[in-house]
Amino acid sequence: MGQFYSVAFAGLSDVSISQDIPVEGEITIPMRSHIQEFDSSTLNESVQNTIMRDLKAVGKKFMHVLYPRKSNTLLRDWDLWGPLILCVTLALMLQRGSADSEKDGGPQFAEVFVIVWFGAVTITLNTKLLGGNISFFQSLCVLGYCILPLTVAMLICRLVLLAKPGPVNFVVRFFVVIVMFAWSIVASTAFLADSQPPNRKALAVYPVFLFYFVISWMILTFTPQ
Amino acid sequence: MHPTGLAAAAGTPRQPSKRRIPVSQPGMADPHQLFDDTSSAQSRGYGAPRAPSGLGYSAASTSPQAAFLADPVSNMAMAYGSSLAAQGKELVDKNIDRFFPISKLKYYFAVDTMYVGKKLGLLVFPYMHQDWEVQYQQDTPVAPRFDINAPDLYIPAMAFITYVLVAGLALGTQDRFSPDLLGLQASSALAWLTLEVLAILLSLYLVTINTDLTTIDLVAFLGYKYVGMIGGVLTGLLFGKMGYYLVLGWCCASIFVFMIRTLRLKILAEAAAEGVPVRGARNQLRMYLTMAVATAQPLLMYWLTFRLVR
Repeated sequence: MGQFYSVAFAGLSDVSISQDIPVEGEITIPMRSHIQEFDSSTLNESVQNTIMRDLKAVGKKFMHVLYPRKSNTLLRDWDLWGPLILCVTLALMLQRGSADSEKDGGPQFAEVFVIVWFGAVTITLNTKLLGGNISFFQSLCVLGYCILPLTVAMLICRLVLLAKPGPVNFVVRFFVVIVMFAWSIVASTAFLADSQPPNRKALAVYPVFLFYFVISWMILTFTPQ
Repeated sequence: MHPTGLAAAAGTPRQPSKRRIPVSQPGMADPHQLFDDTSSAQSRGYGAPRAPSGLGYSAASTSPQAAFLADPVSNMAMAYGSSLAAQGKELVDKNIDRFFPISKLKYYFAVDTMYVGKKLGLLVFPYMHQDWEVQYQQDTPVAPRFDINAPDLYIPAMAFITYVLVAGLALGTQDRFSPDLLGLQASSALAWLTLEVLAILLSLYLVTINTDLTTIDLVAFLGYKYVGMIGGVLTGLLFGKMGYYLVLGWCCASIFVFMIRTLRLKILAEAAAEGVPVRGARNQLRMYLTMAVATAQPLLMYWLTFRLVR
């Protein structure tokens, strides 16, 4: 075996880089295309391009929430546009029509905002303290996007409330809200539970349950008078 | 081995092999590995293929943005800016750590589901539990995950939030709900908790007790009563006033026993903790303090919930 090696590599022992063989060539740094794109293209493109790209990203994440599979898209490139749109829509739909709505017991626009964002921040703090390896904004992103089923429930409830009020009305709304509530919890658990070790998943899911319960309660007790 | 290679590598016989490694890289696929030790400022000049030569003068031939980044002054500005950001973050972290000791808080959240289940059971039924001593491991207490007697902050925090929401629910069923009442309940419960903690700390200071009872420990112990309150209010919602009084009475008795057995080990001296009654004014004072703290719990539990159940 040793002889084979000495025969095969015999010629290499007298390779030398002497002065009369010029070492020439080009050391070119290959262009890192994504830095190029980062530098110039997002500043120079038209506004329509930017908006369409952001809208497509938001739409893609909506699809991920509606059909929750274990994927990293929501976590990897998080954005907060979707949660903002959903929160504003929900808060607007929870408004009553009357102008003198001071003591009617419904949430004001700002109250919905405060409840949603405060709740999301609290859940994120809890997840981080329990030792999860998810960043602050990723968690906010996931929780905000998973409000989508409840926003759909709010839409359906408003449509159902156009019919005549009664116990059937209430049962239908109750059923819709319960289904969407379960969907929200399943969707957010599919993303958040991976960040915790298995003996703590229930501890991280419980505040999420409370959060969506509060929002569902606000939706269910909404009456448009 | 090549003699000149060895001569150049004075004192480091591994130098020749180190020089060979870049040559053997297949096609120099990843430039990042080769140029890792250059400053980040230079690696940004990728837009211009011949970045090192004629930095300012090659601006005409390349795109304006790349030339902007290839300009040495802006390179330096970017490097300075990023170092400033890193320094700022460090400063903020250090100052936050002074007021909210995050690493200490993490100890109190090192729980798992089984611990939470067992602790909730202990809070409701503490009569059969024998050993209340917290286990230590080389001078530091063991994490709550491994010892059911260790205090944690997950249960009190979650119980507090659940109590505020359940209070909102209870007021809603009585048609007295509005969302700002949630905030009001939360802040009043928080105020009572702060008052309790301050009162106990003051008494501990006045009686000059040397305990290892930290403030966070105290907050954790005082937060355990919210579990009983939630149970009482939920039963009151489902079964009326009778159910509320029954469950609240049971939870008051169990939290009283729990507090006495836990605080006895922390506040009283070692001898008294064994159950042997030791004479002496100091130990009696400590016993009174423990009894006072334990009695305050059921009173507060009733005070904060009786308005919610009609």
